[in-house]
Amino acid sequence: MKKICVYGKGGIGKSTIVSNLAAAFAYQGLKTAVIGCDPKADSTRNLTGRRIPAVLDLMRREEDSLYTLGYKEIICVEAGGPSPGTGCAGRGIVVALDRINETHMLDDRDIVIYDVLGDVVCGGFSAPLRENVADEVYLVTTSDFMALYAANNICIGIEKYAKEGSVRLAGIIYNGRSCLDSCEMAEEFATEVGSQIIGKIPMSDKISMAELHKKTVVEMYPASDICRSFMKLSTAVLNNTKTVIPSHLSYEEVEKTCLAYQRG
Amino acid sequence: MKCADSCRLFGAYQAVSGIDGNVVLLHSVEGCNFGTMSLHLAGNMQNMRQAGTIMGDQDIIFGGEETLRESVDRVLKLYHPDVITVITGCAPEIIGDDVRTVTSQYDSILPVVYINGAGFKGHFETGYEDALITIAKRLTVDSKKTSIPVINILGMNYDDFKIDADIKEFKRILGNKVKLNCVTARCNLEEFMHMSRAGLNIVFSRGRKLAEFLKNAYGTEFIEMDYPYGITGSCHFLDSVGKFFDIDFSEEKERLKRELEERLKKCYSYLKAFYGLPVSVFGESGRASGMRRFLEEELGMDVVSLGISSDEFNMDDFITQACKSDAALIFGSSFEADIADQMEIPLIRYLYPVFDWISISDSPYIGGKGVIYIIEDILHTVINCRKNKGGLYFEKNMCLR
Repeated sequence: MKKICVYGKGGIGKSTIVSNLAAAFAYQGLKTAVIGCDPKADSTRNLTGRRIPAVLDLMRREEDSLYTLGYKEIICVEAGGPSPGTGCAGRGIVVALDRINETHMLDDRDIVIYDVLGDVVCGGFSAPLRENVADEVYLVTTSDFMALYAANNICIGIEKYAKEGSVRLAGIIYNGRSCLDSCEMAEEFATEVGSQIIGKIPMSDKISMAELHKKTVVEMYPASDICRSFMKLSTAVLNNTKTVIPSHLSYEEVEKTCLAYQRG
Repeated sequence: MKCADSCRLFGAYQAVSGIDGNVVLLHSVEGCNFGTMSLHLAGNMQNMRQAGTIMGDQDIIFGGEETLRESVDRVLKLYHPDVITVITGCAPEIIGDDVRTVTSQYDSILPVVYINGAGFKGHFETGYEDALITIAKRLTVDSKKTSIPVINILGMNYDDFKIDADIKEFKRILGNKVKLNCVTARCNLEEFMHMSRAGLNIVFSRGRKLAEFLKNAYGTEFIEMDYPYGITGSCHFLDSVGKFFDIDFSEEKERLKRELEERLKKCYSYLKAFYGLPVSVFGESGRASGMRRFLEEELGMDVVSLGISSDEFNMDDFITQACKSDAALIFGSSFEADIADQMEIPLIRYLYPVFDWISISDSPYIGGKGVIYIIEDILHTVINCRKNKGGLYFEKNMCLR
């Protein structure tokens, strides 16, 4: 079983990439699962066509089945969490992952993707990096300073847990949706932390259109160029053997990298 | 890393649990409720005015505000209290439960006072002082000073060993000349609310912040002193109160001395064996200093190691110092039983918390009666521990004299 984890700054397109990547794996016949680790519980919306009940809510209701089957029998799970401004979302992730593990629902999967909220702001959000939950981490970034800054912070978290565990940085997924579309900047960053760009997703209005219909582009536009980008990304992830313990940059180094690629 | 030797929540709990009609609601995990209750049980098993929200994983993840609200409702239904004190532990303060909003929703029904007891925000002493100030600011009112002399006693605590007997002895030695209004360890809501009718507050090391608040808010003067162990302590207490109110306590002091002389005559030979006995004393400043003075100045013992808990105090250093000394007795709380075992000497319990010894008789440790009971307890403990160092030392002293 391949267990991967996708991190990145909030709003960077993680859930879009995760759902399309999962759809691409499933399209190729792989038994796939997606675990949304975000209190908003919307990682799997494009795979199931709706918002599904979260594990933490199902646990409160003492229900046995914690997952929903989505596109091509993908196991879709949302950890869930508290309403904004209350409780501890990080603790929610820990409890939900423990419960998922106890049910053995993922045992027959070929690939499991964890979609984790934003940054590794506390111990709870680094739970997928610990205890063999995921082996490979992919960072999603645009060419914005704050996106790379967040990616660098996540590298700090990976470094910490890689020393004792098996988790490694496997690559950076470049999302070309910011106003400054500079994959070179992301490539420079990837090289500096010791990793690689594993795939590029160009901006496409088909992504927005598919999302409006609660679908992935793999399902809605299977013959499109953007679908081919996700297929290519899925193949790269499957065949990827380059995993590293990253060497994070200083705040100033991240700034320097970004400034070097600014136009004007 | 240093082992914890106190907790802010326990201090807050002890400070406010003496107000009758007040129910303490601990908004925390199970251990905080269990811990406070277990230390309190030996003091008064009948009067358990506490409840806990017993936070679980669901409360941590989704926030404990709803559970807190339900718990307040249940406390209202079960106990019909005059006031509820919600003391928070670490968990709700880490996740940021909005306790203030929840508690303020009951303003039209009764006062629900919120006290932050999170262990990471301070230790026992700050928890104690902050809790007293918080509840006093909320509940006390400006009352007319009475025509007769009235005092409050601050720094005596609900769970203190001998608390009921000590309060009774205070009343006895004050006689009819001064009225005791509120002792924070044992009072009703009315007495607490009207603390400002007293002309003087006596502070036994703890409760200083409350005394300062009462002085600033209501102009009540305060005097700080050690806990009045022994005849010297008792006379100093009476002298201080007498001087403030211009009252002569000579007659009472003479009676105290006379009573003691008559009683102690019976065990004079034993008392001689105390001379030069090396002992170790541990405690918070007012009590430890008061006990040290009594043991040295009145019983002739030699306090060879003294540990006074404070911010800078290091328990490990005290244990090392005590073990290196030739102390034959140690004075402390039930927590010092292990040190006593390690040193192979008897422990005399005089300090909070005492949970392996009970006190239900009228046997105070303060005042004239207190001298008799402390001496009795020391003698009983030492005589019955003949095989360990403390007992043997005493036996040797007895033979020599």
